[in-house]
Amino acid sequence: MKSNSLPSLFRIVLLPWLLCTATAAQAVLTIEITQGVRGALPIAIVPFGWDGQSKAPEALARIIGADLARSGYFSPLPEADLPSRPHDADGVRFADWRMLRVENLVIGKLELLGPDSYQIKFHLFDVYRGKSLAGYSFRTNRRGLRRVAHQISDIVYEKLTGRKGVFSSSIAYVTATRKGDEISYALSVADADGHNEQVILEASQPLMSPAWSPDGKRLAYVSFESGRSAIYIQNVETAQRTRIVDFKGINSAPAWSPDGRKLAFTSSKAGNADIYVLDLESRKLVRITSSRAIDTEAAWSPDGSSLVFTSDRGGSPQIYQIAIGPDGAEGKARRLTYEGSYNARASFSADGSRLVMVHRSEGRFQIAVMELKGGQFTIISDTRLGESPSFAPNGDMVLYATEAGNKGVLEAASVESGTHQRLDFARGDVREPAWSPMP
Amino acid sequence: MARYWLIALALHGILFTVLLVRFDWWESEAPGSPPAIQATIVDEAQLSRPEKRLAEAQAEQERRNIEEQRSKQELEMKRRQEAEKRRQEAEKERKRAEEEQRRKIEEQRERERAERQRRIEQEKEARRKAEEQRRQEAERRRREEERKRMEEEKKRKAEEEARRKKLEQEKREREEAERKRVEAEKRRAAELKRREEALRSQLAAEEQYLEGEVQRKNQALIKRYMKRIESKVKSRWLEPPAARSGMSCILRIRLSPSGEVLVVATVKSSGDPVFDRSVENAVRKASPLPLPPDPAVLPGFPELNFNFKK
Repeated sequence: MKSNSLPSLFRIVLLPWLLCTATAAQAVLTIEITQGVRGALPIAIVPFGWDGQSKAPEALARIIGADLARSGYFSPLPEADLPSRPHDADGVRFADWRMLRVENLVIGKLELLGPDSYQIKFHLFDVYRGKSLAGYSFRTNRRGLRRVAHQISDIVYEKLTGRKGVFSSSIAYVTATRKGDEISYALSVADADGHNEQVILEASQPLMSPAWSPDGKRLAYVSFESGRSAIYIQNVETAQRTRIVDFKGINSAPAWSPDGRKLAFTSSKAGNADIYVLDLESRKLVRITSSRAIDTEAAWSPDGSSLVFTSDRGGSPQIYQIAIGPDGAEGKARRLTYEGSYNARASFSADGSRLVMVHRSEGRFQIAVMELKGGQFTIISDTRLGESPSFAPNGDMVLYATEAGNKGVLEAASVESGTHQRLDFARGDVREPAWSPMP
Repeated sequence: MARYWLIALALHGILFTVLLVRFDWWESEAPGSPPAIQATIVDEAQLSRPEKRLAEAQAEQERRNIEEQRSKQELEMKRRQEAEKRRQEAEKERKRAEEEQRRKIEEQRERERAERQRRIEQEKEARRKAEEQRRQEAERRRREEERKRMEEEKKRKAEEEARRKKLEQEKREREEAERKRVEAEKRRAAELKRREEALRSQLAAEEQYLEGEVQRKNQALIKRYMKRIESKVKSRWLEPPAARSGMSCILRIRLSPSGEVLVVATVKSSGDPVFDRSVENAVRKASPLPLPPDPAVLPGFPELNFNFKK
């Protein structure tokens, strides 16, 4: 899938013939290896031990396995293939796991300490070296069990990939449910795996474009409840909400500045859709673009010094970048995308090195990642109607919406491997996802 | 002799001491007691003229008495002093005579001592002379003996030299014979060696040819197996997502003869634990590594280095 894979090259250096003066002891063959394979890391996650009377309250191992598999970097051994089911370090026979070429092993156990009080212990092992890489113990209540599973996923992920896990973060999205002739809309927040859903707003009119504040405590979104589009900010915990932008015409696509003090959005109050920036404290409004074309879907660079947005000023929708100073735009917008005839709804990875966007290719709307340095373009989805992509806070994954069976669904794709997995939802039509910042 | 001397000295000492003591004693007796004068002092003025004359006659009488007594005493004293003087002179004479006697005895003794000394010296001289004579005689005999010994030694040496010369001659003859024998042997050996060498060089040429063939075959074999090992490890290396160009990790491994990876040591870390673990796992997962039937052809076996480079 990855288009930058190098041609397979390797060299063999026969060290002893180069170092003819070396002593016999030093004359050891050296084999040089310059390329391996890109693939998921084989890992086994043994169902956690549970000595309770009834069934375990959560299948922690399954949650962890699903998390790791979704990242695209891991390929958990199917439960049926497990050669044994140890629950503590003493029960682990590494040779068994080596036979299955499993590199890493997660074991653990869940214990009931008291009414609604649980203890979870887990160990991560390096199978080939026969060493423990991590071991932790948690205490929580029934509701916290899933969260602990995600935390374990994060620990395993970070230990084995060297990058922060994002399984404990949240996603926000909009659902549409049809009841007879009526469609009801809801803005929801869930765990990154789509579970633990909490509806934070229900509406009879469409809701759109949820955007997380950088501190992860508020959501800005578009609601049509007043009869036309208006931008609201709502506290996720308290549900307290404020209407922030309600100009005549269209008001859409809110985007928080990295310091959380400003909101960029699209408004057609001057007759044509343009980008504006509103200072949330001083209420000062600055117009960023004023072209005769449509400029929309602004997103801040992580350092807050520029915005990218979608504009059809060149004849087709493409991504542009414009520098932002204290008094608004500085200089002219610069076109970033030249690949294909449709690129829209771009946003930055947290390190500012990449953009993710909707890219039309062969008549399909795919999700693509572009390296800002070099402009390398990689399609990471395999879909027909991808939309609303956003990076996970660690930049390793992208969450986006697409359609399956005439229904909106969410998918998470690995940026590196391009593997993607659908998130499970009880509800019907799910759209407009947004990945929260790091918890 | 010394004892007589001592006794004589002791006698003299005693005598002398007795004389001294006696003399002291006389001396202490020498001055006579002064005359006792009994006088009553009378005030002249109180006396009357007759009384005065009477008194004066009386005094005159008394004065004459006293004068008389005094001259008597003086005479006595003179007599005594003269006696004393005579006695002292006699004493002096006696002492002088004694001294003379002692001096004579002393001189006699001195003479005797000198005589004795002279005799001793004479005896010594005689002994010395006799000794010297003896010594000279001994020296003369020693020289004579030495001369005889030297002559004998000379004779012995001459005999020995003759014997040695004879032996040497014999030895030379033996050696000559040996040399001739050895030379003959050498000639035979050289001949043998020449033949052997010819054979050996022929063999060596063949061997070299064969060895080159083996070397070529070995190198080809080594290359083939390195490629096999490389390809097996490569297929097991799951590059971590964080792998970036420029990263490298060098491992040194130890193999069993059947290719099992026994030990993996990181020689140079990439600095990224995830990358390091991925390459170590690649090698461990590739165990056993494909090895040629005789793994010893691999230089450094059972050790092998891997350099993982991005």
